[in-house]
Amino acid sequence: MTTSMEAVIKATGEEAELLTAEIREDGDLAAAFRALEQRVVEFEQSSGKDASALLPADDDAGLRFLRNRHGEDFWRAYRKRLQKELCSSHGNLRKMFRKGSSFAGPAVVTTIVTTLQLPVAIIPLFGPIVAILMSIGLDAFCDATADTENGTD
Amino acid sequence: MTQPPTPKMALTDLLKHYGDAEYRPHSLRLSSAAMLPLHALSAGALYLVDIMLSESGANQRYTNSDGRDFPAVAFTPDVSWKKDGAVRTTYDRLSETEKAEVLGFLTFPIHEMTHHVDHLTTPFGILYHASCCAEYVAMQRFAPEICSSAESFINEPLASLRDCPVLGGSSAWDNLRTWVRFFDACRGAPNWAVDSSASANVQLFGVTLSYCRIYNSFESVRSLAFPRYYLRPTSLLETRAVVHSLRYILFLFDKQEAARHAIQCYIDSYYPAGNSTLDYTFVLDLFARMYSGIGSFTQLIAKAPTEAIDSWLLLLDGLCWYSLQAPPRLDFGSSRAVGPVERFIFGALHFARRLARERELKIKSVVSLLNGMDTDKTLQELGCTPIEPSLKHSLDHLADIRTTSMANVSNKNIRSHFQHVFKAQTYFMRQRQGHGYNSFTGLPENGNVVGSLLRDREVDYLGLHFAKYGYQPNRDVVDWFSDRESFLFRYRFGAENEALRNRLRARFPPLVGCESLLCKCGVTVTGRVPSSTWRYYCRCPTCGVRLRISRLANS
Repeated sequence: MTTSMEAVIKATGEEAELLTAEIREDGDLAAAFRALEQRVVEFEQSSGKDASALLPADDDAGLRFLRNRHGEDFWRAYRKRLQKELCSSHGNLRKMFRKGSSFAGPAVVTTIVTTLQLPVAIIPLFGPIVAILMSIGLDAFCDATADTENGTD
Repeated sequence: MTQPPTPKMALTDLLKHYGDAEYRPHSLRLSSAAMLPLHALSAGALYLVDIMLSESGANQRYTNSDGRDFPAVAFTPDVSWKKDGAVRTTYDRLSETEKAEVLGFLTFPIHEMTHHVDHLTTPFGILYHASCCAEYVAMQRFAPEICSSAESFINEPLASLRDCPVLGGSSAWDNLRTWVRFFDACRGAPNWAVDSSASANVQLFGVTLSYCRIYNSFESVRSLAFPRYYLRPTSLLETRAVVHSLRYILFLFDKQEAARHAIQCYIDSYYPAGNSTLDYTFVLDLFARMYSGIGSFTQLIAKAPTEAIDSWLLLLDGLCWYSLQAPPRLDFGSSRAVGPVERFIFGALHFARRLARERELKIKSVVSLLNGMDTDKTLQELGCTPIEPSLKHSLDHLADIRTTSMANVSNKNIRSHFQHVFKAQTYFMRQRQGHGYNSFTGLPENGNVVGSLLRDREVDYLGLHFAKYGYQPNRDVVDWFSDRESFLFRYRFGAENEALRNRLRARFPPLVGCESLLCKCGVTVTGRVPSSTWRYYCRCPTCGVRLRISRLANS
């Protein structure tokens, strides 16, 4: 892992901790969605690329009638994708969450980056996502995603 | 099987729904989200649409393979809403959100079909699909190389990579990159790829635009107000789609004063200022400034007479149409030709010059205006190829592509897809020859491109999948374009990356040797082809003769 990558992970983890506190205080996930929206805008500005580059391609690229760009839409797109990767009962993340609630944001981000082999450019997006995971817990996240898959969301 | 009833949608849900709906130019498809069933509309909106259908005598509903209705109203365009008629009265009684719902529902097919027409009936469309075909052939050489090890299979979008040690020195990558970067430049290249060092500026309608080069290959301009955006072909395509929708709304209201409010309602709901990407609004705002005292498109809508708004939209439609007629290869003939974006800028400057000279653009028709531009010496000197040579060149290019790139596509399904595309494009180029810029589908009366298609009986030839003989690409074709998008343009992580690598390995088998062939000019030509094919077509690098060489029997 390079020094610059370590710095990005550290900053992302710290942001996740701050957001987790905010979510717990507010009692909803709005702060995380706002932050996610902000990270997407920052990605677009720093790279010059459209945010669609961050999303999984489930089909050919298209020309749209209009463009939505809400943090919540990104969360919806990533939630399904992450469930496949993170909800395995033998995964490192599951082990970490089982140990208790004393884990730090950077540690969770490091585990996710290593498990998913995330490209550096998209690590900052995982600050708000990790905050959601830390707030609601991995079990609730996996259950909620499973419910969505079954059409009960 | 009967479809379960869809819950009624509020405008916010409709916006989300349409946010997912798109036209997919590579595979000539509309996304499934495009097929919004009529009964998903709110009660008021549905009531209006039903009256409109019965008033216009539309008794047919187009149904796609999933059994869902394609918005049929768009197929009956020639009936505007009479003042005091049942449709207008009903519309006036709707809430603002219901009005927006109706307008979105009616114009959505026009928007997406405009993209379809632009990709199949213009020289730009030929460049697009020919590049796509050449890209596949280049992938046949590149994919076996990059898939050989997990280390070389990077999980970042290859299209916009600046430096990549694992790809350095790969001639297969150098070849593929040419095509991939064309598509990336069309949709929006990364900041590093935009070179603004030329420092040449141009004033257009009071706006300072600076010239820039994308990937050191494509010319464009950017505005100082939006330093991270440059004018790109996608913007021209989206502008035409929005313009057609707006002209259709004006037509529905007979270009009366009530149309102004409808357009404002439409823009506020679907393309609000500051919340829409510049692809939809930049050109509209820039062009609106051709009127003195107008600073943006929304100001133009608020202040100009509705007849003038319609003429302005027609002019802009014509200019974008003119831009898309840039020949597919820019190095043909003796002089250099310019691409769509430069053609747009030069055409707009031509309008600005005429406005300064004549104070008002008095034109018989937009087609005669565009045909007249072909005789303008300044435009010719700048490299704006007149329409007839461009159409002729497009046909030649299609013939060339069909015997070289397309013949080298080793996958039967993919080859057959390109065959369909090029056949349709050849048909349209031949239809258009001798008619200048005139095109019922390209410059539709009232903006309704779908209605124009039906009138021309070309709907089946355009391969619309809801038409009687509509085109449905093979599953293999759909899968390839999905994998292509993921591989070249998206970030990937986790198991997804390895799964993609496995799919690409299966699709692109290793390369094997070809026998050498002595060309008549004395040059020996050889090559390597995928193990799944026996023949390889190429042009002699020296004399340009087309050659067919075979795979080595023992490989």
